[in-house]
Amino acid sequence: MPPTLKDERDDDGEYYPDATVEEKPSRARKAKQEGNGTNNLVGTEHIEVKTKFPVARIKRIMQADDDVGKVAQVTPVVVSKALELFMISLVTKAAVEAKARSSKRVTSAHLKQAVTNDEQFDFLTDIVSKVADAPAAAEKSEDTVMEGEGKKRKGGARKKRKADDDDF
Amino acid sequence: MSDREFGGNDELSLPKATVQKIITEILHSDPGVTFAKDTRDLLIECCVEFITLISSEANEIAEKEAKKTIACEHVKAALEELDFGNYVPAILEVAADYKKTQASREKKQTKIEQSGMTEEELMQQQLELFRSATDKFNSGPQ
Repeated sequence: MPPTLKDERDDDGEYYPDATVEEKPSRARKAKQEGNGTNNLVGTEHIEVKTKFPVARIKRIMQADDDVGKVAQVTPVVVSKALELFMISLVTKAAVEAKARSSKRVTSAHLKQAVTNDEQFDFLTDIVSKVADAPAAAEKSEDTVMEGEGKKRKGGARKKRKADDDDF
Repeated sequence: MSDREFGGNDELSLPKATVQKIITEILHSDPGVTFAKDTRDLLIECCVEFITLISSEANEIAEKEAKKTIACEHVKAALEELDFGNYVPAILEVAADYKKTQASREKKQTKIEQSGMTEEELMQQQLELFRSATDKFNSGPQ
């Protein structure tokens, strides 16, 4: 069937040079490999983010650091993907904190709690330090410390002590 | 001047609307859960910090290898170094996808290869095309 054949080729040829390139082919492929690719991000692999960050912006943020020189074309693309996974992880964990306090609204305090609970997010401590703890967080922090035991001793313990001092 | 400064600052952050959209997509499976605006702004700060962290680590790794350009492998090494090793498979996948699209952008020919047909099959198809075109022409308006 000549027309069908022609259409297919047109599709391929037309879509690639477009800005939407990143989405179209990779989405199909992602669906196929989902089990493999994001397997180790337990509990979040069902989350599919279709919106992409502007790659040029990512590159500019990277190069805002004067030490950072040239970056390969692919570099901002992969950093953008890493950022996506980072956001999924952080937002999901903040949402868990909100749920633990039966709040439908994820607040900065919940985000802070998510950061404090996970060693992986230690580099964000400064940023979240300006946020006040959630009132309910003092009670609940014991639970969360237990969950993350071993992993997050330091911050959790410090936090708990502070809460005790303040409240009792 | 001050206008430009503001613009400059904004440039070094992430677009709020995009971030909001992504948050909504992430929380899609939790209907009713909302993300406060100031939480989103805090999240953006965290995101920028994350990018800065990864790129400065990747830059260090590249410098150690006496490379002037930060490549995918340096980002990979940086993620591993910074306890984000679990992101590596996904970014490698993205890098491979990117390579593929770049390649097909440069070489149109590969699209024929990508059709998954052998040369013979393609030839067959072309002949078919010719034949149907001839038929159409012959049976067309006299």
